[in-house]
Amino acid sequence: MNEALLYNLVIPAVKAVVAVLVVATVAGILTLIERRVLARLQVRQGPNRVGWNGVLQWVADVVKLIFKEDVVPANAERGIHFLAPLLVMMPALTVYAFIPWGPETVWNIPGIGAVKTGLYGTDVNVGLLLLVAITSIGVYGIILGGWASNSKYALMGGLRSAAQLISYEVPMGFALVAAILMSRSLSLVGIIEAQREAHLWFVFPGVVAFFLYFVSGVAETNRIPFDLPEAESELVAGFHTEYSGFRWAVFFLSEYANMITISAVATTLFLGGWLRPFPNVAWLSFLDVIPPVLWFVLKVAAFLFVYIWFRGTFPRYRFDQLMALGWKVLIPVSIANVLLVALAALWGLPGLKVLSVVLWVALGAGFFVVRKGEPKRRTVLEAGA
Amino acid sequence: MKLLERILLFDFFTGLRISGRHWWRKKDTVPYPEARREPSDRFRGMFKLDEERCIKCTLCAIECPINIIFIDWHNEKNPEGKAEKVLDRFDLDLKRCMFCGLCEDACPTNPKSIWLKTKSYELGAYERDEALYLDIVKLTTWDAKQGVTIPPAPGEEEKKP
Repeated sequence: MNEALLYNLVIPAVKAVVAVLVVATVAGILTLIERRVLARLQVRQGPNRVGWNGVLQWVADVVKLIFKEDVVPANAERGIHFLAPLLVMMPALTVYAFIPWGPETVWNIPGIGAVKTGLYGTDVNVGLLLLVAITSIGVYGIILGGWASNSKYALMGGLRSAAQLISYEVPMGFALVAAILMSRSLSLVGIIEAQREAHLWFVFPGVVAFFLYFVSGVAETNRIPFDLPEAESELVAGFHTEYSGFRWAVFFLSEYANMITISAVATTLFLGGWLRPFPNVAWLSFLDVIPPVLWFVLKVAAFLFVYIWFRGTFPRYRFDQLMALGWKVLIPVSIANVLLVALAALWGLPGLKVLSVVLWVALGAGFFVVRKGEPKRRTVLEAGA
Repeated sequence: MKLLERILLFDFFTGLRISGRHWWRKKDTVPYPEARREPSDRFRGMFKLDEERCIKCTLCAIECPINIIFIDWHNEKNPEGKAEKVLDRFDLDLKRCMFCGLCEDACPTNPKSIWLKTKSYELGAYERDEALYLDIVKLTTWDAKQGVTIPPAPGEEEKKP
Protein backbone atom coordinates (compact mmCIF):
# COMPACT_ATOMS: atom_id res chain seq x y z
CA MET A 1 0.00 0.00 0.00
CA ASN A 2 1.05 3.57 -0.61
CA GLU A 3 3.15 4.62 2.37
CA ALA A 4 1.81 8.18 2.56
CA LEU A 5 -1.78 7.03 2.22
CA LEU A 6 -1.28 4.42 4.89
CA TYR A 7 0.27 6.72 7.45
CA ASN A 8 -1.78 9.80 6.71
CA LEU A 9 -5.21 8.39 6.13
CA VAL A 10 -5.75 4.72 6.89
CA ILE A 11 -4.05 4.46 10.26
CA PRO A 12 -5.49 7.70 11.68
CA ALA A 13 -8.94 6.70 10.48
CA VAL A 14 -8.67 3.27 12.09
CA LYS A 15 -7.39 4.85 15.30
CA ALA A 16 -10.18 7.40 15.35
CA VAL A 17 -12.88 4.80 14.88
CA VAL A 18 -11.37 2.50 17.48
CA ALA A 19 -10.89 5.33 19.98
CA VAL A 20 -14.46 6.61 19.66
CA LEU A 21 -15.96 3.13 19.82
CA VAL A 22 -13.84 2.10 22.78
CA VAL A 23 -14.48 5.28 24.74
CA ALA A 24 -18.23 5.24 24.05
CA THR A 25 -18.46 1.58 25.04
CA VAL A 26 -16.33 2.00 28.14
CA ALA A 27 -18.40 5.03 29.15
CA GLY A 28 -21.49 2.87 28.85
CA ILE A 29 -19.99 0.04 30.86
CA LEU A 30 -18.76 2.57 33.39
CA THR A 31 -22.34 3.50 34.24
CA LEU A 32 -22.97 -0.10 35.20
CA ILE A 33 -19.70 -0.38 37.12
CA GLU A 34 -20.47 2.84 38.92
CA ARG A 35 -23.87 1.60 40.01
CA ARG A 36 -22.47 -1.71 41.19
CA VAL A 37 -19.56 -0.15 43.08
CA LEU A 38 -21.81 2.46 44.66
CA ALA A 39 -24.21 -0.26 45.66
CA ARG A 40 -21.39 -2.14 47.33
CA LEU A 41 -20.25 0.93 49.20
CA GLN A 42 -23.84 1.41 50.34
CA VAL A 43 -24.24 -2.28 51.31
CA ARG A 44 -26.95 -3.03 48.77
CA GLN A 45 -27.25 -5.05 45.58
CA GLY A 46 -27.24 -2.69 42.65
CA PRO A 47 -28.58 -3.66 39.22
CA ASN A 48 -28.60 -7.45 39.03
CA ARG A 49 -31.48 -8.37 36.72
CA VAL A 50 -30.46 -7.97 33.09
CA GLY A 51 -28.09 -10.65 31.92
CA TRP A 52 -25.84 -12.52 34.29
CA ASN A 53 -25.79 -10.51 37.53
CA GLY A 54 -26.86 -7.44 35.60
CA VAL A 55 -23.91 -7.24 33.22
CA LEU A 56 -26.20 -6.26 30.35
CA GLN A 57 -27.89 -3.46 32.27
CA TRP A 58 -25.99 -0.79 30.38
CA VAL A 59 -27.08 -2.24 27.03
CA ALA A 60 -30.67 -2.16 28.21
CA ASP A 61 -30.22 1.44 29.35
CA VAL A 62 -28.80 2.52 26.02
CA VAL A 63 -31.55 0.77 24.07
CA LYS A 64 -34.18 2.33 26.28
CA LEU A 65 -32.67 5.80 25.86
CA ILE A 66 -32.55 5.46 22.07
CA PHE A 67 -36.20 4.55 21.85
CA LYS A 68 -37.37 7.07 24.40
CA GLU A 69 -39.38 10.04 23.24
CA ASP A 70 -37.20 13.05 22.54
CA VAL A 71 -39.07 15.97 24.06
CA VAL A 72 -38.20 19.54 23.15
CA PRO A 73 -39.89 22.16 25.33
CA ALA A 74 -42.36 24.34 23.47
CA ASN A 75 -40.50 27.62 23.98
CA ALA A 76 -37.02 26.20 23.70
CA GLU A 77 -34.46 27.59 21.30
CA ARG A 78 -34.68 24.57 19.06
CA GLY A 79 -31.45 24.89 17.16
CA ILE A 80 -29.24 25.44 20.16
CA HIS A 81 -31.18 22.89 22.14
CA PHE A 82 -30.26 20.41 19.44
CA LEU A 83 -26.67 21.60 19.17
CA ALA A 84 -25.76 21.70 22.87
CA PRO A 85 -25.33 17.94 23.48
CA LEU A 86 -23.11 17.71 20.41
CA LEU A 87 -21.07 20.64 21.64
CA VAL A 88 -20.52 18.76 24.90
CA MET A 89 -19.75 15.44 23.31
CA MET A 90 -17.41 16.54 20.53
CA PRO A 91 -14.64 17.93 22.77
CA ALA A 92 -15.07 14.99 25.12
CA LEU A 93 -14.28 12.60 22.28
CA THR A 94 -11.80 14.83 20.42
CA VAL A 95 -9.23 14.73 23.20
CA TYR A 96 -8.77 11.02 22.56
CA ALA A 97 -6.95 12.02 19.39
CA PHE A 98 -3.83 12.68 21.42
CA ILE A 99 -4.17 10.91 24.74
CA PRO A 100 -1.42 8.29 24.65
CA TRP A 101 -2.51 4.78 25.57
CA GLY A 102 0.66 2.95 24.65
CA PRO A 103 4.17 3.52 23.34
CA GLU A 104 5.24 3.51 19.73
CA THR A 105 5.48 -0.09 18.58
CA VAL A 106 5.93 -2.01 15.36
CA TRP A 107 2.81 -3.91 14.33
CA ASN A 108 3.08 -6.72 11.82
CA ILE A 109 -0.18 -6.53 9.97
CA PRO A 110 -0.69 -9.32 7.43
CA GLY A 111 -0.99 -7.98 3.90
CA ILE A 112 0.53 -4.61 4.73
CA GLY A 113 3.71 -5.47 6.56
CA ALA A 114 5.39 -3.79 9.48
CA VAL A 115 3.68 -0.61 10.60
CA LYS A 116 5.36 1.57 13.18
CA THR A 117 2.84 3.58 15.13
CA GLY A 118 1.99 4.51 18.68
CA LEU A 119 -1.22 3.78 20.51
CA TYR A 120 -2.24 7.40 20.27
CA GLY A 121 -3.84 9.38 17.52
CA THR A 122 -0.97 11.76 17.19
CA ASP A 123 1.77 13.19 19.35
CA VAL A 124 0.95 16.88 19.46
CA ASN A 125 3.94 18.88 20.70
CA VAL A 126 1.65 21.28 22.58
CA GLY A 127 -0.64 18.45 23.61
CA LEU A 128 -1.34 19.70 27.10
CA LEU A 129 -2.38 23.16 25.93
CA LEU A 130 -4.57 21.66 23.25
CA LEU A 131 -6.12 19.38 25.83
CA VAL A 132 -7.00 22.23 28.16
CA ALA A 133 -8.31 24.26 25.24
CA ILE A 134 -10.52 21.49 23.91
CA THR A 135 -11.90 20.31 27.23
CA SER A 136 -12.91 23.87 28.10
CA ILE A 137 -15.14 24.01 25.03
CA GLY A 138 -17.41 21.42 26.62
CA VAL A 139 -18.78 23.91 29.10
CA TYR A 140 -20.27 25.96 26.25
CA GLY A 141 -22.51 23.04 25.50
CA ILE A 142 -23.64 22.91 29.10
CA ILE A 143 -24.33 26.65 29.32
CA LEU A 144 -26.05 26.80 25.94
CA GLY A 145 -28.06 23.68 26.68
CA GLY A 146 -29.18 25.20 29.95
CA TRP A 147 -30.08 28.49 28.33
CA ALA A 148 -31.80 27.04 25.27
CA SER A 149 -34.07 24.85 27.38
CA ASN A 150 -35.98 27.96 28.49
CA SER A 151 -36.30 26.62 32.00
CA LYS A 152 -35.11 28.34 35.13
CA TYR A 153 -33.62 25.19 36.58
CA ALA A 154 -31.66 24.46 33.44
CA LEU A 155 -30.47 28.06 33.23
CA MET A 156 -29.33 28.02 36.85
CA GLY A 157 -27.52 24.76 36.23
CA GLY A 158 -25.75 26.18 33.21
CA LEU A 159 -24.69 29.33 35.04
CA ARG A 160 -23.45 27.35 37.99
CA SER A 161 -21.49 25.20 35.63
CA ALA A 162 -19.88 28.27 34.08
CA ALA A 163 -18.90 29.72 37.45
CA GLN A 164 -17.59 26.38 38.65
CA LEU A 165 -15.61 25.70 35.50
CA ILE A 166 -13.94 29.11 35.58
CA SER A 167 -13.03 28.69 39.24
CA TYR A 168 -11.60 25.25 38.87
CA GLU A 169 -9.81 25.72 35.57
CA VAL A 170 -7.31 27.90 37.44
CA PRO A 171 -6.01 25.40 40.02
CA MET A 172 -6.15 22.73 37.33
CA GLY A 173 -4.03 24.91 35.07
CA PHE A 174 -1.52 25.52 37.84
CA ALA A 175 -1.35 21.80 38.55
CA LEU A 176 -0.62 21.25 34.88
CA VAL A 177 2.06 23.94 35.07
CA ALA A 178 3.72 22.00 37.86
CA ALA A 179 3.73 18.89 35.70
CA ILE A 180 5.13 20.83 32.75
CA LEU A 181 7.88 22.27 34.94
CA MET A 182 8.87 18.81 36.05
CA SER A 183 8.84 17.25 32.60
CA ARG A 184 9.92 20.29 30.55
CA SER A 185 7.57 19.16 27.83
CA LEU A 186 4.07 19.96 26.67
CA SER A 187 3.65 16.81 24.67
CA LEU A 188 1.83 14.05 26.50
CA VAL A 189 4.16 11.42 25.07
CA GLY A 190 7.11 13.63 25.98
CA ILE A 191 5.89 13.84 29.57
CA ILE A 192 5.77 10.08 29.85
CA GLU A 193 9.23 9.78 28.30
CA ALA A 194 10.50 12.40 30.75
CA GLN A 195 9.22 10.30 33.63
CA ARG A 196 11.03 7.28 32.27
CA GLU A 197 14.26 9.19 31.88
CA ALA A 198 13.90 10.79 35.31
CA HIS A 199 13.45 7.31 36.85
CA LEU A 200 10.60 8.93 38.72
CA TRP A 201 6.87 9.16 38.47
CA PHE A 202 5.89 12.77 38.88
CA VAL A 203 3.40 11.85 41.58
CA PHE A 204 6.37 11.76 43.97
CA PRO A 205 7.60 15.34 43.61
CA GLY A 206 4.19 16.55 42.45
CA VAL A 207 1.88 14.96 44.98
CA VAL A 208 0.23 18.28 45.73
CA ALA A 209 -0.25 19.07 42.06
CA PHE A 210 -1.55 15.57 41.54
CA PHE A 211 -4.13 15.97 44.25
CA LEU A 212 -5.12 19.43 43.05
CA TYR A 213 -5.44 18.19 39.50
CA PHE A 214 -7.66 15.33 40.53
CA VAL A 215 -9.90 17.43 42.77
CA SER A 216 -10.33 20.11 40.13
CA GLY A 217 -10.86 17.36 37.60
CA VAL A 218 -13.74 16.04 39.67
CA ALA A 219 -15.14 19.57 39.73
CA GLU A 220 -14.63 19.99 35.97
CA THR A 221 -16.55 16.85 35.18
CA ASN A 222 -19.44 17.96 37.42
CA ARG A 223 -19.18 14.90 39.57
CA ILE A 224 -20.18 14.48 43.18
CA PRO A 225 -19.16 16.23 45.48
CA PHE A 226 -19.01 19.06 42.95
CA ASP A 227 -22.10 18.28 40.91
CA LEU A 228 -23.74 21.61 41.64
CA PRO A 229 -24.85 22.13 37.99
CA GLU A 230 -27.07 19.08 38.22
CA ALA A 231 -27.88 19.13 41.91
CA GLU A 232 -31.12 17.22 41.89
CA SER A 233 -32.24 18.41 45.31
CA GLU A 234 -32.08 22.04 44.18
CA LEU A 235 -32.29 22.14 40.39
CA VAL A 236 -34.24 19.01 39.40
CA ALA A 237 -31.47 17.89 37.04
CA GLY A 238 -29.68 21.15 36.34
CA PHE A 239 -28.67 21.90 32.79
CA HIS A 240 -30.17 18.71 31.37
CA THR A 241 -33.56 19.07 33.04
CA GLU A 242 -35.29 19.56 29.68
CA TYR A 243 -33.39 16.85 27.86
CA SER A 244 -34.64 13.35 27.38
CA GLY A 245 -33.96 10.33 25.27
CA PHE A 246 -30.78 10.12 23.32
CA ARG A 247 -29.81 13.77 23.70
CA TRP A 248 -29.75 13.26 27.44
CA ALA A 249 -27.74 10.10 26.85
CA VAL A 250 -25.20 12.18 24.94
CA PHE A 251 -24.78 14.46 27.95
CA PHE A 252 -24.40 11.39 30.10
CA LEU A 253 -21.90 9.80 27.74
CA SER A 254 -19.80 12.96 27.66
CA GLU A 255 -19.71 13.14 31.43
CA TYR A 256 -18.27 9.66 31.56
CA ALA A 257 -15.94 10.29 28.62
CA ASN A 258 -14.68 13.37 30.49
CA MET A 259 -14.13 11.25 33.57
CA ILE A 260 -12.01 8.88 31.53
CA THR A 261 -10.14 11.86 30.04
CA ILE A 262 -9.33 13.34 33.43
CA SER A 263 -8.21 9.94 34.69
CA ALA A 264 -6.09 9.34 31.60
CA VAL A 265 -4.44 12.74 31.81
CA ALA A 266 -3.77 12.35 35.53
CA THR A 267 -2.23 8.98 34.76
CA THR A 268 -0.12 10.45 31.99
CA LEU A 269 1.12 13.44 33.93
CA PHE A 270 1.67 11.96 37.35
CA LEU A 271 1.54 8.17 37.28
CA GLY A 272 3.87 7.51 34.37
CA GLY A 273 1.28 6.73 31.72
CA TRP A 274 2.01 3.34 30.24
CA LEU A 275 5.19 2.81 32.29
CA ARG A 276 5.29 0.02 34.80
CA PRO A 277 6.06 0.96 38.41
CA PHE A 278 9.75 1.90 38.79
CA PRO A 279 10.55 1.53 35.07
CA ASN A 280 14.30 1.51 35.65
CA VAL A 281 14.58 -0.99 38.48
CA ALA A 282 15.91 -4.13 36.83
CA TRP A 283 14.66 -6.74 39.29
CA LEU A 284 11.10 -5.52 38.78
CA SER A 285 11.30 -6.36 35.09
CA PHE A 286 8.99 -9.35 35.59
CA LEU A 287 6.24 -6.72 35.69
CA ASP A 288 6.77 -6.32 31.96
CA VAL A 289 4.54 -9.35 31.36
CA ILE A 290 1.71 -6.86 31.60
CA PRO A 291 1.90 -4.87 28.37
CA PRO A 292 2.15 -1.06 28.57
CA VAL A 293 -1.43 -0.54 27.39
CA LEU A 294 -2.69 -2.67 30.21
CA TRP A 295 -0.65 -0.71 32.73
CA PHE A 296 -2.27 2.45 31.44
CA VAL A 297 -5.73 0.93 31.57
CA LEU A 298 -5.13 -0.36 35.08
CA LYS A 299 -4.11 3.08 36.31
CA VAL A 300 -7.06 4.74 34.61
CA ALA A 301 -9.39 2.13 36.11
CA ALA A 302 -7.97 2.86 39.55
CA PHE A 303 -8.71 6.55 39.02
CA LEU A 304 -12.24 5.83 37.89
CA PHE A 305 -12.74 3.73 40.98
CA VAL A 306 -11.61 6.64 43.13
CA TYR A 307 -14.13 8.82 41.27
CA ILE A 308 -16.91 6.45 42.24
CA TRP A 309 -15.52 6.13 45.72
CA PHE A 310 -15.71 9.92 46.06
CA ARG A 311 -19.29 9.79 44.94
CA GLY A 312 -20.09 7.17 47.55
CA THR A 313 -18.38 9.14 50.30
CA PHE A 314 -18.84 12.88 50.12
CA PRO A 315 -22.01 14.91 50.30
CA ARG A 316 -22.53 17.72 47.81
CA TYR A 317 -21.00 21.11 48.54
CA ARG A 318 -23.09 24.19 48.96
CA PHE A 319 -22.33 26.66 46.19
CA ASP A 320 -20.57 29.20 48.41
CA GLN A 321 -18.52 26.39 49.93
CA LEU A 322 -17.57 25.28 46.46
CA MET A 323 -16.44 28.78 45.54
CA ALA A 324 -14.61 29.21 48.85
CA LEU A 325 -12.77 25.93 48.32
CA GLY A 326 -11.83 26.88 44.80
CA TRP A 327 -10.70 30.46 45.36
CA LYS A 328 -9.49 30.47 48.95
CA VAL A 329 -7.84 27.07 49.16
CA LEU A 330 -7.09 25.43 45.84
CA ILE A 331 -5.78 28.47 43.97
CA PRO A 332 -3.35 29.72 46.66
CA VAL A 333 -2.16 26.19 47.31
CA SER A 334 -1.65 25.54 43.62
CA ILE A 335 0.33 28.77 43.18
CA ALA A 336 2.51 27.93 46.17
CA ASN A 337 2.99 24.46 44.76
CA VAL A 338 4.05 25.84 41.40
CA LEU A 339 6.67 27.96 43.18
CA LEU A 340 7.94 24.98 45.13
CA VAL A 341 8.13 22.73 42.09
CA ALA A 342 9.71 25.49 40.04
CA LEU A 343 12.48 25.90 42.61
CA ALA A 344 13.11 22.19 42.63
CA ALA A 345 12.99 21.98 38.84
CA LEU A 346 15.44 24.84 38.60
CA TRP A 347 17.96 22.65 40.39
CA GLY A 348 17.13 19.87 37.96
CA LEU A 349 16.56 16.18 38.53
CA PRO A 350 18.29 16.01 41.94
CA GLY A 351 16.01 18.81 43.07
CA LEU A 352 12.93 16.82 42.09
CA LYS A 353 14.26 13.79 43.93
CA VAL A 354 14.98 15.81 47.06
CA LEU A 355 11.55 17.39 46.82
CA SER A 356 9.82 14.03 46.56
CA VAL A 357 11.73 12.61 49.52
CA VAL A 358 11.00 15.70 51.62
CA LEU A 359 7.31 15.78 50.66
CA TRP A 360 6.63 12.10 51.27
CA VAL A 361 8.58 11.97 54.51
CA ALA A 362 6.71 15.05 55.69
CA LEU A 363 3.40 13.51 54.67
CA GLY A 364 4.18 10.22 56.40
CA ALA A 365 5.41 11.95 59.54
CA GLY A 366 2.40 14.25 59.57
CA PHE A 367 -0.03 11.38 59.32
CA PHE A 368 1.86 9.46 61.97
CA VAL A 369 1.71 12.42 64.35
CA VAL A 370 -1.95 13.10 63.70
CA ARG A 371 -3.00 9.51 64.17
CA LYS A 372 -0.81 9.13 67.25
CA GLY A 373 -1.93 12.40 68.81
CA GLU A 374 -5.63 11.83 68.40
CA PRO A 375 -7.51 9.59 70.81
CA LYS A 376 -9.07 6.74 68.93
CA ARG A 377 -12.20 8.12 67.38
CA ARG A 378 -15.05 5.73 67.30
CA THR A 379 -17.64 6.65 64.76
CA VAL A 380 -21.22 5.58 65.13
CA LEU A 381 -20.68 3.15 62.31
CA GLU A 382 -17.69 1.51 63.93
CA ALA A 383 -19.56 1.16 67.18
CA GLY A 384 -22.49 -0.41 65.35
CA ALA A 385 -20.48 -2.81 63.23
CA MET B 1 -2.60 19.57 65.72
CA LYS B 2 -5.86 20.85 64.25
CA LEU B 3 -3.91 22.82 61.66
CA LEU B 4 -1.80 19.81 60.77
CA GLU B 5 -4.96 17.77 60.42
CA ARG B 6 -6.41 20.32 58.08
CA ILE B 7 -3.27 20.53 55.98
CA LEU B 8 -3.11 16.77 55.65
CA LEU B 9 -6.86 16.54 54.87
CA PHE B 10 -7.18 14.03 57.66
CA ASP B 11 -10.98 14.10 57.71
CA PHE B 12 -11.05 13.69 53.94
CA PHE B 13 -9.10 10.47 54.14
CA THR B 14 -11.05 9.32 57.18
CA GLY B 15 -14.23 9.73 55.18
CA LEU B 16 -12.82 7.71 52.32
CA ARG B 17 -11.63 5.05 54.73
CA ILE B 18 -15.01 4.71 56.40
CA SER B 19 -16.94 4.42 53.17
CA GLY B 20 -14.29 2.16 51.69
CA ARG B 21 -14.62 -0.23 54.57
CA HIS B 22 -18.21 -0.92 53.53
CA TRP B 23 -16.84 -2.62 50.44
CA TRP B 24 -16.30 -5.76 52.48
CA ARG B 25 -19.47 -5.58 54.52
CA LYS B 26 -22.21 -8.10 53.91
CA LYS B 27 -24.97 -6.60 51.81
CA ASP B 28 -28.03 -5.61 53.77
CA THR B 29 -30.43 -6.20 50.90
CA VAL B 30 -31.28 -9.49 49.21
CA PRO B 31 -32.03 -10.12 45.52
CA TYR B 32 -35.70 -10.52 46.26
CA PRO B 33 -37.34 -13.21 44.17
CA GLU B 34 -34.33 -15.51 44.48
CA ALA B 35 -33.67 -14.86 48.13
CA ARG B 36 -36.31 -14.01 50.65
CA ARG B 37 -35.82 -12.46 54.01
CA GLU B 38 -37.47 -14.24 56.93
CA PRO B 39 -39.59 -11.73 58.83
CA SER B 40 -39.38 -11.56 62.61
CA ASP B 41 -41.68 -13.71 64.70
CA ARG B 42 -43.93 -10.78 65.52
CA PHE B 43 -44.31 -9.74 61.88
CA ARG B 44 -47.90 -9.00 60.91
CA GLY B 45 -48.60 -10.61 57.59
CA MET B 46 -51.48 -12.32 55.86
CA PHE B 47 -54.54 -13.42 57.84
CA LYS B 48 -55.26 -16.97 58.74
CA LEU B 49 -58.52 -18.24 60.16
CA ASP B 50 -59.08 -21.48 62.06
CA GLU B 51 -62.73 -22.32 61.61
CA GLU B 52 -62.69 -25.10 64.22
CA ARG B 53 -61.52 -22.78 66.96
CA CYS B 54 -63.70 -19.84 65.95
CA ILE B 55 -66.77 -19.40 68.18
CA LYS B 56 -68.43 -17.01 65.72
CA CYS B 57 -68.70 -14.28 68.33
CA THR B 58 -68.03 -11.59 65.67
CA LEU B 59 -65.90 -9.63 68.12
CA CYS B 60 -63.24 -9.24 65.49
CA ALA B 61 -65.73 -7.66 63.10
CA ILE B 62 -66.98 -5.35 65.86
CA GLU B 63 -63.48 -4.37 66.87
CA CYS B 64 -62.29 -3.69 63.35
CA PRO B 65 -61.84 0.08 63.06
CA ILE B 66 -62.75 0.26 59.39
CA ASN B 67 -65.30 -2.55 59.30
CA ILE B 68 -63.77 -4.74 56.69
CA ILE B 69 -64.58 -8.09 58.31
CA PHE B 70 -67.97 -9.44 57.19
CA ILE B 71 -69.38 -12.37 59.14
CA ASP B 72 -72.75 -14.12 58.60
CA TRP B 73 -73.78 -17.23 60.48
CA HIS B 74 -76.84 -19.35 61.19
CA ASN B 75 -77.75 -21.89 63.84
CA GLU B 76 -77.74 -25.60 63.11
CA LYS B 77 -78.47 -28.65 65.22
CA ASN B 78 -75.43 -30.79 65.64
CA PRO B 79 -75.76 -34.59 66.04
CA GLU B 80 -76.03 -34.21 69.82
CA GLY B 81 -79.07 -32.01 69.35
CA LYS B 82 -77.46 -28.80 70.50
CA ALA B 83 -77.52 -25.54 68.58
CA GLU B 84 -74.27 -24.68 66.88
CA LYS B 85 -73.28 -21.62 64.90
CA VAL B 86 -72.22 -22.29 61.36
CA LEU B 87 -70.43 -19.65 59.32
CA ASP B 88 -72.06 -18.63 56.06
CA ARG B 89 -69.56 -15.98 55.27
CA PHE B 90 -66.27 -14.80 56.71
CA ASP B 91 -64.94 -12.24 54.28
CA LEU B 92 -62.13 -9.85 54.72
CA ASP B 93 -61.48 -6.85 52.47
CA LEU B 94 -57.72 -7.17 52.55
CA LYS B 95 -57.14 -4.33 50.13
CA ARG B 96 -58.37 -1.90 52.76
CA CYS B 97 -56.81 -3.63 55.74
CA MET B 98 -54.11 -1.71 57.57
CA PHE B 99 -52.86 -4.71 59.54
CA CYS B 100 -53.49 -3.09 62.91
CA GLY B 101 -54.11 -6.45 64.50
CA LEU B 102 -57.04 -5.32 66.62
CA CYS B 103 -59.13 -8.27 65.40
CA GLU B 104 -56.49 -10.61 66.70
CA ASP B 105 -56.47 -8.81 70.05
CA ALA B 106 -60.24 -9.00 70.24
CA CYS B 107 -60.46 -12.72 69.60
CA PRO B 108 -61.48 -14.39 72.89
CA THR B 109 -60.28 -17.90 72.09
CA ASN B 110 -56.93 -19.21 73.14
CA PRO B 111 -55.08 -19.80 70.94
CA LYS B 112 -56.49 -17.11 68.69
CA SER B 113 -58.69 -18.30 65.87
CA ILE B 114 -57.84 -15.34 63.66
CA TRP B 115 -54.27 -14.18 63.56
CA LEU B 116 -51.93 -12.14 61.38
CA LYS B 117 -48.53 -13.26 62.53
CA THR B 118 -47.94 -15.61 59.64
CA LYS B 119 -44.70 -14.28 58.13
CA SER B 120 -46.43 -14.15 54.77
CA TYR B 121 -46.04 -10.76 53.14
CA GLU B 122 -46.45 -11.55 49.44
CA LEU B 123 -49.98 -10.28 49.06
CA GLY B 124 -49.77 -9.20 45.44
CA ALA B 125 -52.39 -10.28 42.93
CA TYR B 126 -53.14 -9.69 39.29
CA GLU B 127 -56.88 -9.13 39.78
CA ARG B 128 -57.87 -6.85 42.59
CA ASP B 129 -60.82 -8.98 43.63
CA GLU B 130 -59.17 -12.31 43.12
CA ALA B 131 -56.84 -12.53 46.06
CA LEU B 132 -57.43 -9.43 48.06
CA TYR B 133 -61.05 -9.99 48.91
CA LEU B 134 -60.76 -13.07 51.02
CA ASP B 135 -63.57 -15.53 51.45
CA ILE B 136 -63.65 -18.16 54.13
CA VAL B 137 -62.17 -20.88 51.96
CA LYS B 138 -59.14 -18.81 51.15
CA LEU B 139 -58.79 -17.60 54.72
CA THR B 140 -58.79 -21.09 56.16
CA THR B 141 -57.02 -23.12 53.53
CA TRP B 142 -54.22 -20.95 52.21
CA ASP B 143 -50.77 -22.29 52.71
CA ALA B 144 -49.52 -20.42 55.74
CA LYS B 145 -45.96 -20.89 56.79
CA GLN B 146 -46.10 -23.58 59.42
CA GLY B 147 -44.46 -23.61 62.80
CA VAL B 148 -44.82 -19.94 63.52
CA THR B 149 -45.13 -19.47 67.22
CA ILE B 150 -46.26 -16.18 68.60
CA PRO B 151 -43.98 -15.18 71.44
CA PRO B 152 -45.31 -12.80 74.07
CA ALA B 153 -44.17 -9.23 73.81
CA PRO B 154 -41.15 -8.43 75.95
CA GLY B 155 -42.31 -8.13 79.53
CA GLU B 156 -45.76 -9.46 78.77
CA GLU B 157 -46.73 -12.86 80.10
CA GLU B 158 -49.10 -15.15 78.24
CA LYS B 159 -52.51 -14.58 79.75
CA LYS B 160 -54.27 -17.70 80.96
CA PRO B 161 -57.99 -17.90 80.08
